[in-house]
Amino acid sequence: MITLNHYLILSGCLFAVGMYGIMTRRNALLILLSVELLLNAANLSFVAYARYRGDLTGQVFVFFTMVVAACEVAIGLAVAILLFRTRETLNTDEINTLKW
Amino acid sequence: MLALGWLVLFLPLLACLVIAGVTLKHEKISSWLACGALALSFLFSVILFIGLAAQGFPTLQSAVTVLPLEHLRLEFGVLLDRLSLIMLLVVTGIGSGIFFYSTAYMKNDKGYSRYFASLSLFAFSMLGIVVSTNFFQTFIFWELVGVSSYLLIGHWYQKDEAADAGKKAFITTRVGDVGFLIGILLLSSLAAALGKQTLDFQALSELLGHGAGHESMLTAICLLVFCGVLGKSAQFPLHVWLPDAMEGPTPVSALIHAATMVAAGVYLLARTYFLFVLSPSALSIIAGIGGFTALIAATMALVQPDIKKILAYSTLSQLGYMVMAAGLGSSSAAMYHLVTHAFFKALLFLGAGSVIHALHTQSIWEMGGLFRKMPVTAWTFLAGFLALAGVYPLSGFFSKDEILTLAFTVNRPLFWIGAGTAFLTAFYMGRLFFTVFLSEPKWEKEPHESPRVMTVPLVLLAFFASIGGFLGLGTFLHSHYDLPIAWNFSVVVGSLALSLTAILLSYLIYALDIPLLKPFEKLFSPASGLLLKKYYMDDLYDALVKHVQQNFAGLCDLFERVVVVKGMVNGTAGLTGWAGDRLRRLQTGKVQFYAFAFSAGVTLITLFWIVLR
Repeated sequence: MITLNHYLILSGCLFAVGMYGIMTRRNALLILLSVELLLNAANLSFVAYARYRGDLTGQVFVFFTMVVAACEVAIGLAVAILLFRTRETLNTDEINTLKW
Repeated sequence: MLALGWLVLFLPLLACLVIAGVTLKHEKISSWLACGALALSFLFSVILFIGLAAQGFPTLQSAVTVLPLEHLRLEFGVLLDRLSLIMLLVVTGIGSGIFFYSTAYMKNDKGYSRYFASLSLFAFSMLGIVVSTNFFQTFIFWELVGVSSYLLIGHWYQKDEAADAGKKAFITTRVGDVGFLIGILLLSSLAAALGKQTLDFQALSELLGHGAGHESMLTAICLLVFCGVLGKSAQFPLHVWLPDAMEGPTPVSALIHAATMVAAGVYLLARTYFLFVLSPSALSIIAGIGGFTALIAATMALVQPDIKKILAYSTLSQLGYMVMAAGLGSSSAAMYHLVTHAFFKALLFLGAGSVIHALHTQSIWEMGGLFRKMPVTAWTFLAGFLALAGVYPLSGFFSKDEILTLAFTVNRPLFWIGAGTAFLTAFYMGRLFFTVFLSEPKWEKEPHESPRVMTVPLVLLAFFASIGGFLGLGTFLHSHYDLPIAWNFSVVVGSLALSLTAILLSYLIYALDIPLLKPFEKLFSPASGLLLKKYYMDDLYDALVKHVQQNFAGLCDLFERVVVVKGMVNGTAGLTGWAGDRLRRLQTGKVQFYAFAFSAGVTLITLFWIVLR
């Protein structure tokens, strides 16, 4: 039997993996991917709670999140492509013109 | 009536402001503004006096609050009673005379307008003390008087002696004023303990009337307030500034350092006498200091060659008399002597000014034989001299003998000191008068009598110095705090005989040149050395300042520079800088590090929260 806790633990693991990715990766593309993981971890716990409580509000929120995530990916990828065209790299350590 | 009182007070200030602000370049207008304002003040004072005399001298008071504190209202007002009315008349009356005299004496002086502005400021400050309703106002004007005195002593600031004398006067009186201020603060706390926090004279006198059981506190307050008197009225040991203050123009010496300002201390004693009568021990200390000052000042006057310095020491000595009278239990006797002294001492100083004006020297040994050449000055000076020496029927005789009689009944040792001082006074004044006016002439350029504007004040003052004893001032000023004084015939005759003997002696020695003192020369020379050195008081203070105060100041300076500036101020700055330098390393600029710090923080907080539950 798969209970709420299983979902939550999975969600937590996904979140942790995403966080780890954000902190350790230097490639902008991979950081974007990790952000998606974070969002999906949140989505998973939303859905799990919605199911658990027999209430659709959580699922509605997931739709919103997915829309936002889609937009974010679209823009993020566009930025990444533009960056690559101008700088020929996606290494975040080298992209530092806006620092200070 | 009270409106007139306010007007009397503020007219001189108005003159001062107008002169300083508008007419500094127009000397004639400045001088007439100052004279006019004070003369008008005098006129109003006379009107006030007559008007209030018709009502039997009620005590009138009006005040505005300048600083409302939580428990204490600091007020500024006008108080009119017998005491302040008499003092108003003295200050504005003698002041007007001296103002007019100054217009001639100061002719062709570079700082003519400045001089009259300062004089007006002084008149304002002095009147402020006179009409003051409370200790707060008195203290403010007390300091203002100090400032204007400083300005006037240092009028010829290009001369180092004058500038130094001004500073000395200001600082020495400040020493006493510190005590005065502490006394005022203590008094206000005592009043609070008795139920009503106030500094108002009338309220205090009622409050302290049933303030038994605070004797030691009252003694402390009295002595601290008396510290202010010590400074302003130049009593021992703060008397050192007054002789030096003679560096100022002679009319200033007459007005400030003889007639009015130095009398402020005695006036304060009389005004706050309700306080002093509560502490007999403080009174006896005050009497002792007064007597001591009277005696040592008289001895110092014996050897001075400078005409103004002789008069300055004489002033010290007479102020000692007044303080002694207050200490012995009669503020009215002190005030009586203050008024008569104001007349004859202002007269003597103005006479001296007239002589100096004619001969351009201050040493009495370079004068001589002036009686024929300057008859008006000589005759008026004679009146002042005899009044000061206490010869019947001139004013000084009455006021001085009142004090001597009081001392005779209350405190015998002080009576002998007073009598000795009276003898010395008559002797040194005889020495001055006979040397200047009756001995062989020692000048080369023929001197002339001074202009009319200078001699008229002399004649007026001589008139009042002569008849001052018949005005009944003693009984007029008598308050219920004062001891009654019964005439004692033997004291009166004795002191008169003393004075006359001294005058005769000085006549023989200085006018007829009979060498009576020759056989005693050996005996006197060490003593006169001591007297010329002013009992080494100035040297003592010099040494104190040089060795004690300077070293202490150096120590404070070191503490300030090493501990305060280097240790505390720069230390705080250094610590902050160092901490900032360390903390800066956290700001790496790497977003991922921030993300790590953020998530680590959230994790830790969550953990902590869970554990705590």
